[in-house]
This record gives sequence, C-alpha cells and structure tokens, in this order.
Amino acid sequence: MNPELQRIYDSLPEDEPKSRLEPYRELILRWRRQGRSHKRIAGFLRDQCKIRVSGEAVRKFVKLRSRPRKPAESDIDLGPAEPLPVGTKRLSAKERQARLDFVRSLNTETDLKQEQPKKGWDELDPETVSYQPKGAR
Amino acid sequence: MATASVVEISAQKAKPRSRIVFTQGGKGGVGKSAFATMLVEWYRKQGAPIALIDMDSENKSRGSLAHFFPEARKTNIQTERGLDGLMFALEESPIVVADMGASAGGIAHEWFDSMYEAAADSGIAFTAIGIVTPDPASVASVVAWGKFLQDRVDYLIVKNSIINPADFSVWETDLQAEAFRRLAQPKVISMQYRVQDVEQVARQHGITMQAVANGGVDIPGLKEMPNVMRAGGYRKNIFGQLDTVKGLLLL
Repeated sequence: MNPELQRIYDSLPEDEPKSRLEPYRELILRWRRQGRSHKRIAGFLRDQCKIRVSGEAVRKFVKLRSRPRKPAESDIDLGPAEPLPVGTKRLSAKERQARLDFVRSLNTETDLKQEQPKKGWDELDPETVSYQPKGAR
Repeated sequence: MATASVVEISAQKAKPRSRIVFTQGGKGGVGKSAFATMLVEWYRKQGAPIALIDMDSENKSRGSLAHFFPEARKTNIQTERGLDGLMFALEESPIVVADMGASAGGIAHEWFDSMYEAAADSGIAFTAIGIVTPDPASVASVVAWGKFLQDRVDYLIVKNSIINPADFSVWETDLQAEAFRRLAQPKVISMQYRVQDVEQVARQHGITMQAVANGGVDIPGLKEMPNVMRAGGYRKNIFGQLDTVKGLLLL
C-alpha cells in the first residue's frame, strides 16, 4: 500500500465493538463448539457475566462470527480440537461430500412427510396407556 | 418456472447433511437390537456408508449391536458425555445408527435438550425408532419418548411381532397412541414373527441373518436348509418394509 495511505489507515482508531457480546466472543464460540445451545449460552451470560441477551441474539451473533475469515484477521484461539475416539477416521471435505451425494442418490422416496404440529405434545400421558379387552372398547 | 426453481432451491436447502438414526431406549426386550441389526443389514445392502454406535450398556456382550458388528463402537451413555459418541461418529459417516439400551431415557433426554439446537443448526436430522409389541408398556414407552422429543425428530414405528399371532390392539386403539400418531405423523412398518430357534441361536452367536441366509454358518440350528431359507425370507420381508421409509433413513 502507498505509505501515505497506510499512514492514514493506521491513524484511524478502531471502531467500537458493534455488539456488546463482542468482549465475550471467544467464550461464546467455545461454548458453541462444545455443543451448548444458544439459549443455554444466553443463560450462562446472564448468570456469569451479568449480560442479559436472548438466545436468538446469541444465535445471530454466532452466525455472523462463524463466517470464514482471513487467517491474518483471526484473533481467536479455539484451542486444539478434541481428540476423536480411537478408530474414528475423520473425513476430508471432499470425501464427506462424495458420501453425502451418494447417500442422497439412494433416497428415491418422493412422498413428502406431513408437518408435525408444534402444540399438543405436552398432553401426551404414557401413564394411561393400557390394554382394554375387546368387550370393553 | 421461476417459482418452481425457488421451491426446488428451498427443498434442497432443507435437506439434512447428516442423520442420526437411533432406537428409543425404553422398554427392554421389545426387539430394539434385533431390529437395529436388520437395519444395519439393509444399509449394507444399499451400499450406504454408516457408522455404528452400540449404546446398550445393559446388554453387555451377547446380542448387542457390537456382538453382531464388531466395528460398532461401544459407548457407555451413563457418563456425562457418553452420547457425544454420536457426534464423533458423524466425523466418519453422514449416517449414524445407534442402538440404545433399555432405561436410557433420562440421560438421553438431558443430552438431547443440550445438543439438539446446535445439531439442527449444523444440518443434523434425527430419526427415532420406536418398537411396539403387544405389550402395553412398549406403547407407553413410545408415547413417553414422543412427549419428550416432540417435533424435533422424525419417527419410525416398528410393530414387532414377537409372538404369533401378535395383537397390536393397544397400539391401534389406545387414545394416547392415537394422539401420538396424530402429533408425530410416524411412518409405521412391521417386523414379522421370527422362529425363536433361529432368532435365539443367531443372537447367542452374534450371527447376522445375512450370514445365516448365505448358508455358510456351521452352527446347529442355523445351517439347516429350512432355517437358511427362513433367514432369507426375514431379510426380504423387512428390507421391503424399509424400502418404503427411505426418506427417514437416508438424506
């Protein structure tokens, strides 16, 4: 870059973090990597960091920060990946896609499933399931 | 034309990238492992790459999935992160088949609650397999799992004829079972009655129906021609049923 332009670039202060979750970015991404739900992370932030946010806000934050970034800009050290159990063969992206495409090609079913309702599940009561003799039905 | 393309693209996007197919660990002795074994044989026949997880900690050696398929990874789910094995298995295959043991409900539910959202975001779909028999307790178990899992999974119900003739009237007429069917929209298939001589001996030795049907097993009870033919028939029957529910088993 032209030295004059570089000087101007360097002299500009960095923008303030756009999200108040920014200081907790590494923590949030680590939790997500461990498989914790957005809602649970929001709960941790409330309890441990006194930050009140919704699970949806955490989801949006993670989604934006999970986009591929240039290596030079990366300032997050997520630590070494968890070792896989012995015998696990981690697939390359190419192998994974090939397997995915093959499995999808096997699925010839065109019958669309009916949408499951969101409500009514809590009313299920397994305790009342019983055998009724034919005469009693 | 433009509308069709949008619909097509949406459908494509909605397709899962991985699927975890698991037997619901509830009532014991309903034939979870027997069905799981046939399911694995079906996947093998399709040529589909699958990873196997044996979570049946009560069924330690004989008759568990790992007994039939030594490559199945035995996992003790009675530990805090025992079910994480499902996620590790996805590293090696887009489809994971897991056989849970009886009484796995509590710990599985806890794990599912903490992991489901992240898994769904990653394009992982779940198929829960419930086995019903003439025993009302098997139906109660399916209803209990449905109450917990709700609309987060696809449901496959297997009516397993463990006796002959089998009376599935509880599954067919009980009000709770009816409510479950209305909510879960499960696909239902049947597993025919299997002669106990064949079933028990194969289980005792960890011999698959494919091996029996191929006729190369030198074990009394499994090498006789009628039983070789029976094993072939069992495979043909259940494979025919599984072919009708491919959408729940593949991607």
